[in-house]
Amino acid sequence: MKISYSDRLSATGYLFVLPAALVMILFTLYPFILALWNSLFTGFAQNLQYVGLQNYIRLFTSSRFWNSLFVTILFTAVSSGISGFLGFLAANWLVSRGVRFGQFFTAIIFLPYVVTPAIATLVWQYMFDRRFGILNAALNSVGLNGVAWLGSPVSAMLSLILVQVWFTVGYNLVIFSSGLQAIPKDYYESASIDGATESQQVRLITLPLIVPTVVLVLVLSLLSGFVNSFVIAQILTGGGPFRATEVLMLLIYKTAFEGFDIPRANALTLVMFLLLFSTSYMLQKWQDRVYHGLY
Amino acid sequence: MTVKNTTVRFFVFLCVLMIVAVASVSAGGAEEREDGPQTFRMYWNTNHRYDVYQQVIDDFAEEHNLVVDLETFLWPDMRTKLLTDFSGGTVPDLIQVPAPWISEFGANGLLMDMTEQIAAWPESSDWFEPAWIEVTSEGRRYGMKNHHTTFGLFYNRDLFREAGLDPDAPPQSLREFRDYMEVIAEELGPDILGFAFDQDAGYLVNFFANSDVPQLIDDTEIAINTPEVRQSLEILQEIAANEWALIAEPGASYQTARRAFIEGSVAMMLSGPWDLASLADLAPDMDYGIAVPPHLEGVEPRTIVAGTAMGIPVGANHSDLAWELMQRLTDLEIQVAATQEAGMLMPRQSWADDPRVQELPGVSDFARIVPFAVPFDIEAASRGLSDIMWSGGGGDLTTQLYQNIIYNRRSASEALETYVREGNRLLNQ
Repeated sequence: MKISYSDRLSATGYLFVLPAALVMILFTLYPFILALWNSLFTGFAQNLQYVGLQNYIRLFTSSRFWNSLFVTILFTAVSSGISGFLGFLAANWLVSRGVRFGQFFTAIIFLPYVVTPAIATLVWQYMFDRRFGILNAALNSVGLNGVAWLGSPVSAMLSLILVQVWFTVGYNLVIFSSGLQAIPKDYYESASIDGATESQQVRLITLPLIVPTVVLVLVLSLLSGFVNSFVIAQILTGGGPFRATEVLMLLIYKTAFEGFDIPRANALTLVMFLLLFSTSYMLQKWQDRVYHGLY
Repeated sequence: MTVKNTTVRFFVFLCVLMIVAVASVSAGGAEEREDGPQTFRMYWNTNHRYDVYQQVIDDFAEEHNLVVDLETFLWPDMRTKLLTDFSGGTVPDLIQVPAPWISEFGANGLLMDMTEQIAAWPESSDWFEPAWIEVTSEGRRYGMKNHHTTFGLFYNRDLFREAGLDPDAPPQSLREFRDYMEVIAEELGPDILGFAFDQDAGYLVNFFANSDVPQLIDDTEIAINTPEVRQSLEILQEIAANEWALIAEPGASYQTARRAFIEGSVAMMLSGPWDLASLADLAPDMDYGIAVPPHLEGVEPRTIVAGTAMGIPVGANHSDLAWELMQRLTDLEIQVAATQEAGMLMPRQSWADDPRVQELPGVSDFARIVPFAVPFDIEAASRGLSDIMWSGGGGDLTTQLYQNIIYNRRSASEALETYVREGNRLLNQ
């Protein structure tokens, strides 16, 4: 059989894809299918019994799951919103004003992102300590009472959000900076000649042209919110007080390793995957609808 | 050949390649080389790696021409690692875990049933009887305790003196405990407080378990729904609400209360003999005593039994050798040496009678408390009801009850009722 040139070309392409595809199949697709299959059982290790969709039904009728889902969405939405907004403001300020030492500021703000989350969160734990923490020491030094940062549901959630914003704002700044630098300066010059104010320029030129960057930041914040939330909540609060910070990832961990119920934890994981996938997909669709290109 | 056909063939090729890779990795992992020394894998708690145990392990390895791969973990990491190993079929030969895990794992068919081996071993009759209860599920024994401990109230005599309290009269009743707390807060506060509440809900049991309620479960219902337990929790809540005690925050580490006691910022803490060595190291000059944790007046106190046990996972490569090492590690001379090295309490009656043990300060205090210790929630462990458990950090429902008490969101009575209602529901599911 004679193989045509175009077939040879596509075969070469597949060969290039092969290593990455193998890794994907072995470490993503295979465990995914295994998790899906396992979520239809109950029991542990070799003692599994098929229960169909029972794990999913139990999940959706559990108040703990809905609480966890709400906590996760709250944490992710608020931290992504604040972090994205601050990242955009800082990037816009640095890019549009051409601030001196801009790269230095960027590096300083980006620094938390390269610190290991577990280590940084431990440092935050010491800072939040009610009696010995530096935050309460600062409040006391100006005559204010110390706060139980992790001791009440509201303050614990706010503390978690603060840590997540601290982690991600620098990363968002860098992404927004690159998005903003791609917009031709001519647009702003023309608008300026036509009498557009600075806020009009941001609203009518900057924002419509950085839609892909916004979507990218949102998707990455979403993923980072879901993933980081485990480390932050586990170390700072263990999900408490009163499950106020029991995010989905933590619930999955507790279900699997404290509750001894790996099939149910797999069901939870798949629900979380669906949530992440559908949100990312909708964001992509929104970008397709509203973004009409840079030039 | 179309592009579509090529894609399908490529995908099939990938899948075959993947299956071959997985199969070869699995097969390779299961094999152990026949020619060189065999590897014996064991998991141990990081804080229990005593020199005396290491010597036993070294001698054991040399005699059997083994390489002993001793991996150490803190409890949460150990649990994660173990459950992953059980799922993946890559279990170690010997594990040391908190005793309630043994009955929990045993009930799930993950540990070897050692009932016959233990019954045939003459020295097993030397073990304190409660030490066997903790490793038993439905009448079968799945392991053997190697540390048998409990909790005591550590009190700093110097701080008692500074607050004008009798340094040789620790609080015996919860009412006295509350009054001491108030005096210390008035005399030495706010920098020095009376007590430190741990982040671990399980410690609470030591205040409310008593001879009438020695166990969490009474046949088919939660047994702690009594006026005595309710009253005990209310006094503890009053202490927390008045901020007479340091309250560890929800994610705080185990060290929080210990650190506060060692640096002298709290006058009392609940802990066990496992902290005697670190106290001697970090606060050698501290004048402290150890007493039975205070209870309501008129009730006979109980504390929660603690400690670790060893077991052999189902599928272990060297189960016979593991059983031999278990016996060696619990030899009377080794137990006495471990006590002398680290102050740890042991499960043998002959150990308790040994004069070398009786003369050790701290250890002798705990020897007086051990008879009050009960395996309070062992039935919950063997039934797999982790949510209502108190030991091992406390289950989810237990944590909710504890947090309601120390963070004062609801009345102790209401919180207890919620715990009991939910607990009964789980019990009868």
